Amino acid sequence: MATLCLNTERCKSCGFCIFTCPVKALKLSGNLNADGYDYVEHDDGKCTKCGLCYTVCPDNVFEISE
Amino acid sequence: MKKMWKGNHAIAEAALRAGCQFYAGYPITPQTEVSEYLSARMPELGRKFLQAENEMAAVYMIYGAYACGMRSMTSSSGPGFSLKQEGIAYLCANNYPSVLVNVQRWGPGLGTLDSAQTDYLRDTRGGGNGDYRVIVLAPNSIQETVDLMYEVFDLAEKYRNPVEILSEAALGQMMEPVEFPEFKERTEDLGWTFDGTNRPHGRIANPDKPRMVKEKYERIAAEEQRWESYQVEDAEYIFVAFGLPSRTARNAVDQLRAKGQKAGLIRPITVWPFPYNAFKEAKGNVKAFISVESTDAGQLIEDVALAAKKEFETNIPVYGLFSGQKIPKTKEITEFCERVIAGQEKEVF
Amino acid sequence: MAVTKTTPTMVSIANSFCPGCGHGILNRLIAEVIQEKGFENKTILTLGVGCSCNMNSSWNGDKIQCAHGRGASTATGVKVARKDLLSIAYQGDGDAYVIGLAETLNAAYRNEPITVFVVNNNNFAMTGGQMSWTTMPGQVTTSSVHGRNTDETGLPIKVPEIVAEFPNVAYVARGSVHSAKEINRLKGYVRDAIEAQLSGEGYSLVEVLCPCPTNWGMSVKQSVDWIEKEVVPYYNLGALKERKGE
Repeated sequence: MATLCLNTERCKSCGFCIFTCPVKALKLSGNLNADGYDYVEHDDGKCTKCGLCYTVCPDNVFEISE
Repeated sequence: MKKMWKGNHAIAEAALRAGCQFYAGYPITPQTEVSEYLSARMPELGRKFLQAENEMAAVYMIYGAYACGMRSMTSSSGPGFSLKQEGIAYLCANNYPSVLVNVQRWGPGLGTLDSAQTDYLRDTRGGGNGDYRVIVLAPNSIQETVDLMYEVFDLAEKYRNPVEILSEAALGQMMEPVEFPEFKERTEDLGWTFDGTNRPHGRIANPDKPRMVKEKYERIAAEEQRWESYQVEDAEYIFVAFGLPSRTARNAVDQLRAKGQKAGLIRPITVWPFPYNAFKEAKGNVKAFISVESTDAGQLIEDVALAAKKEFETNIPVYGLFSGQKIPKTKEITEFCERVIAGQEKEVF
Repeated sequence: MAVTKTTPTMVSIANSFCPGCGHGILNRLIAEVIQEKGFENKTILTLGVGCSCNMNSSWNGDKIQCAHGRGASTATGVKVARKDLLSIAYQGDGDAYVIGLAETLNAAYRNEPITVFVVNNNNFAMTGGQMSWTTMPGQVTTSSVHGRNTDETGLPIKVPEIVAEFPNVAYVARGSVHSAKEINRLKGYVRDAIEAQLSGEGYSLVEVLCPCPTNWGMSVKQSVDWIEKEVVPYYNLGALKERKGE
């Protein structure tokens, strides 16, 4: 069962992943990380672990493992 | 056995003997023969010659190469050397070694092809931005050029700093008897160079060592001053001259001494660090310093004035013989000194 | 359908690019390819001056900071000293195509065995968004406040097209990061460019269209849309010169 992990400390709230996600599983969390960015969170139920968020993220927030 | 060599060819051959593996340069008179000679000789030795598209590219090529530890050199003159100033500042900023050769021609701007020393202030103070110094050596013969060139790569690596040979057009173009030392190479790892592994490079931008700049240059100034003194100990009228004017100045000392005047000569070999220690040798009743230089407005004279202030308690006047775009003749120098003695010249400092 | 994705080691340190900047994506693609090739400890990046300077603190590999525009010369010198290593010049459009145009073209002209990546975000970004030679016609920047007047300043420069005309360069391409699809295509160009150096074919250049939301005054979504609609029709994507044997 694949897992999507988010290193939310690296998120800069740019939103690239949000509008890229084909199943709309990502949104801003409303919480701030240590740098003051409203970091992204994912709905694991919707997420298919396709990896497109990893592809577009400039900050290496996402990792997917088995 | 000594053979007759043209200065520019000798500089080039000496660099190869000293282990230069890479040269990047551009044609500019009066040093083009350095490039030409290396373009032929380096491939013979399996080394890299690269004629760069402009002087800036050349200095940045050696910047990249010496950052990786390869003994690299560039040479130029006049406005070409001006173009390298940013690169030289970068080399100093990053504590990279490099060897630079400036075969000076009269300037500013396009200038002329005449032999002159009009880059003195720029090369000793640094023409790029920020606080840095280049170790600058000024030979006055082709053999001395060869001997100094043989050391400069080691010197550059010892201090992780650019080292410049400050030559001049006539010295580059003329021929003198020369012999060369054997080939040598530095094969050991310098320890800090860029090798792909991202090991510590000892960057100067180190917040733990904010004084590293000052400390390094103080150390060089304390340990690397070089000069030659001639009849200085009891001298009353001391010429200060480097490069080719020092040769006619030395003749002038002999002629003045023959007439009973106590003349002497301090010949800086390092013009940075300026050899203040040389002035300690003057133990006589020094009445004047005379800066003898191929400049128009006086450049070396500023360092002579600083030395006079630094090393002497009395206020010794400093005069300047500025011969412009030619090497001053012995007669000009002796006559100038006689006018100084007669009180007919006004001191500059 | 799941894939395994881990952060490549060379981008394991958080970067300080602006939110939504394209640099971070290109950094990762380069890191992925270097890691594939096992060259993490055998690569030297030469960083231009501009937003690339951010990589001094974030790129987890050997890197030399060179002067503005002189990346091609410095990377050339690096390769002369260490032909066993991968020498990459990483620059912006202002750096490589404006102040450094001579050095960029000349290294290509000589087919120097280096790989050059140029982030094209149509402005001098680090200094606050001035016009560069890749600024689009009519584009407002801080030094073209009435919109770029191409009669006076020239049309946006296409350096990869010029370089692709040199007879013996090994590989030239232009990619973009404006969508996941283009990012995936770009990775292929990055790989080809690096392979061209590693297999001794010669000089390679990849220009990468990137968003600069900060200086363009747009959201990230608006920025990537702008690239797709306004920039790509002019700055065509794809390989401009294929590797021999491809």
